[in-house]
Amino acid sequence: MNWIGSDYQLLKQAINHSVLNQKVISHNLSNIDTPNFKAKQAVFEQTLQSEMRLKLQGGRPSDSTQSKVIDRAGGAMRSDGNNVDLDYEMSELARNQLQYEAMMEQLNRRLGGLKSVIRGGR
Amino acid sequence: MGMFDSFHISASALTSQRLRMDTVSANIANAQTTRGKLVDGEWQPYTRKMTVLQEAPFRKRLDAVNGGVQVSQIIEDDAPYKLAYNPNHPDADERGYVQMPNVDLLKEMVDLMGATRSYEANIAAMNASKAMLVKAMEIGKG
Repeated sequence: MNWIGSDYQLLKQAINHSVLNQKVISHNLSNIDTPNFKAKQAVFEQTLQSEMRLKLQGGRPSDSTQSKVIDRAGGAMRSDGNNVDLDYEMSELARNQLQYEAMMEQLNRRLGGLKSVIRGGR
Repeated sequence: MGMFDSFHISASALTSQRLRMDTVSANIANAQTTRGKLVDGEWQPYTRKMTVLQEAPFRKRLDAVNGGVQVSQIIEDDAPYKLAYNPNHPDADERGYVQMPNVDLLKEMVDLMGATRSYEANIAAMNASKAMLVKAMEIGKG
């Protein structure tokens, strides 16, 4: 897929991660009143960083980069054993949405540039 | 990983919170009901109902419904019934006391507020998911 830009795979994975993140945030919000529920978190950035380092050293980023869903550590636990923080989840929701839209914008610009090349600049 | 999974997750919460509100409504509506259940030919007052929320396990898989929340059961509050002195009441005992439901309006109002706020939070999450999907439909349009 080099004709579409070499880091297209990375962008795709980041978008996929954002979708998963949206699911996790929705899941946390839906369980805000569930006793003994532990807030979850999707982690990807650490893996992304190691993948990018690999790429800088000349390797190809693998297609199998996986996001993981883990229990979020810390946070104040309420008396019912639930540690979902509404303010944190709402700000994560906004952040994830903006991040997703930024990546979509990037993807669209890339495709737009490609389209312009196909049309021969006309 | 389905496209509409986050919708399903938020929707499950909306359903659960609405059921919680329905339970609160039933409790408030029956706050004065002295004939809730017939036990051995004797009328028992209405018993306060409560919903039990349970997490639907979150799995990052293609099959099955993943994540969200569900109402696992509706339980009855085992708090004692309130006694009111009202000798003219048809359900009064020989001393003139009537057993009234164990519904506490204050508790119900707090529960109602909690359910409303949770409902709003999940609506916000659903709107965010919707905005993201709309954005995804614009891929390659520019």
